[in-house]
Amino acid sequence: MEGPRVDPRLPVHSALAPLIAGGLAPGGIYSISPSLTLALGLTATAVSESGWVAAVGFPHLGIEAVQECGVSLDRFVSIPSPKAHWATVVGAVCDGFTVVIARVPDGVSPATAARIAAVARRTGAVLIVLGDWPSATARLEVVGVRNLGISDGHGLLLGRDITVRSVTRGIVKTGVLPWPFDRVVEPDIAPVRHLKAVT
Amino acid sequence: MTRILVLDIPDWVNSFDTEAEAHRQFDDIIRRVEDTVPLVRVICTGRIAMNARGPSRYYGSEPAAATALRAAHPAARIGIADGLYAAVFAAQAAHPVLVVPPGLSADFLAPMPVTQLGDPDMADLLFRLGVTTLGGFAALDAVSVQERFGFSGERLHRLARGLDDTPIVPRDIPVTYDRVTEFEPAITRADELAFALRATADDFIDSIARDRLACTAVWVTLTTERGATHERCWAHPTVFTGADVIDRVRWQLDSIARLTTDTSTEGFAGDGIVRVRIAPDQLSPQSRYEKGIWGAPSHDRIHSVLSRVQSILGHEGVLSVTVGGGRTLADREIFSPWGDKPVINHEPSRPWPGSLPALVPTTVYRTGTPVELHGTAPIPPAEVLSEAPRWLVHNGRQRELIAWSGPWPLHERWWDGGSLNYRLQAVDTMGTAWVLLSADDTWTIEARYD
Repeated sequence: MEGPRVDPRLPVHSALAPLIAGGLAPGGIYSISPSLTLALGLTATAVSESGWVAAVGFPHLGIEAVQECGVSLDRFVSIPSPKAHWATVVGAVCDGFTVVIARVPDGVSPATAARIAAVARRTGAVLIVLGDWPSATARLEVVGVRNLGISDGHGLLLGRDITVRSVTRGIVKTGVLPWPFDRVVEPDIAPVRHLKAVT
Repeated sequence: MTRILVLDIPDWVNSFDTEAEAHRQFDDIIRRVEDTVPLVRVICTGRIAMNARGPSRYYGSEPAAATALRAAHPAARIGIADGLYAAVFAAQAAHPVLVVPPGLSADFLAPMPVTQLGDPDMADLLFRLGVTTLGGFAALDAVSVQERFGFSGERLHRLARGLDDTPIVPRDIPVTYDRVTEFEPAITRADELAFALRATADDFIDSIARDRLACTAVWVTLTTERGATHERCWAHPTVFTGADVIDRVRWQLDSIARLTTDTSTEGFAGDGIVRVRIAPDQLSPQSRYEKGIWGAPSHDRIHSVLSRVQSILGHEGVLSVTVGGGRTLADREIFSPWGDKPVINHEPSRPWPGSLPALVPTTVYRTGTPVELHGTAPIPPAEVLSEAPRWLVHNGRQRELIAWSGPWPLHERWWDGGSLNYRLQAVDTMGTAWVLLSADDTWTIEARYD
């Protein structure tokens, strides 16, 4: 009576799928560098047909961008300023929401992180955190960006190619996420600008 | 504590167009399980519970029983724990099987938020007391809980401590609520049966409600012309209404009909229903079941989660969003507190000359953040074409620009004497792209691509 195994992973943009073992694991926690484009790239495909998305801690998230990437605004809510209740709010929305995008405030204790991870594991919510997270399912960072169509004093920004890197057990993988997501990445492989952290 | 096994198929109902269809499909699974386990309780469509003891004996152990029952559906998850409450959680947390050893249900439940109690008022009270997890709640003294929260609080406290004693077997309930309806001639069509039972079902629920009770599980017994009886216990995610009872009767009739005929006809293969008995299996004080413990359909769950967050952050703390019309990016975003209807001031479809063309930014500042633009010297908006901008100075932080374009004029209410403003795009060395807007004699950040 054993049926075919169903892959529980949620689909992501094809540029990012190889970086996270094919898709988002329900209950998984993805720690990413502070790029909303990357956050939306991980989210959009998974919830294109059904499922709810909550954004916690983003008072300036561009709503048209959320709509543009295919997330239905009918199934999207923003909790812009959870302040001191961050952990409680994130824990609450992990119950019922398919994807929760959250900015990690300073000073999330390992115990709080473990508790939220337990809730996500139980409910199957995917948590995408912008910032550091102990024992994340995967870590993704933006290592380079090409802004297309704009140059010195003329043109117009028409698209962006964002190079994303994941490191899992010492294996480094990179992918190029285009914005908007349905654009084809520029084939011209001009040297990608590698970034250094600035303070 | 009774060991309970729960089989849960996530998102079952949502994967079908109608609940009736979801149930019809689920019925196959129930019947497969009933081949080996006689007493199965339907918690909701997509989730069933049973005493774990029977199947564990049959298959040799609890894990073996769980593995065997999982074969009912590829997406099925099985949880076994002490009591129904913990077992439902175990099933939800299972990958795909989770057996919480006897005596450890309270530990298993401890990290869960108190919102999981399914009682918003109680969760509110506990939040205010600083108790956010079931473990924290369980640690409270039982006597104090009863004094402070009364009978219903005591029951929830027992759930949190892993002491749920909800029985899977029917328990004694006064027969006065039972309703038996007989039909002559027999009824073969589900819609006819539903019509004939409508008043009975309402009366059944009303008689229970008059005693300030709520029915959360119901037995439906159908007797056919040939004398066969088909009995099943249905649980409800919240509380049964008359219409819900009728739905269960229909689903049960559909399921017998499909047992006796391979073709999906409306009729019932010649063997009509002559007798229907509806009896409560579980009754609870009404107040306790305003919101369900077992998780309602997804939108209800979303609503209850967000209402809870609003109770912490305030009504404006949770926002629904829509896109309207307008020239500046911030104008186009419309926020409304969750539960309120959005007010759209501008038609999004109107052409908006001066709105940002092409690429949509991921960050939009609703209040203009002042910023300075420098070349060899500061560049005020009025002198935007005087030299190439090289630096963006924001909050005392300098960003070197590697590309820019514009300016584009943006006419905002010029007929009211509004000023002529400009928009500029710029890219810094980090690859972050910025949209700047002039406001009279200063620049502000309108948006960012990050």
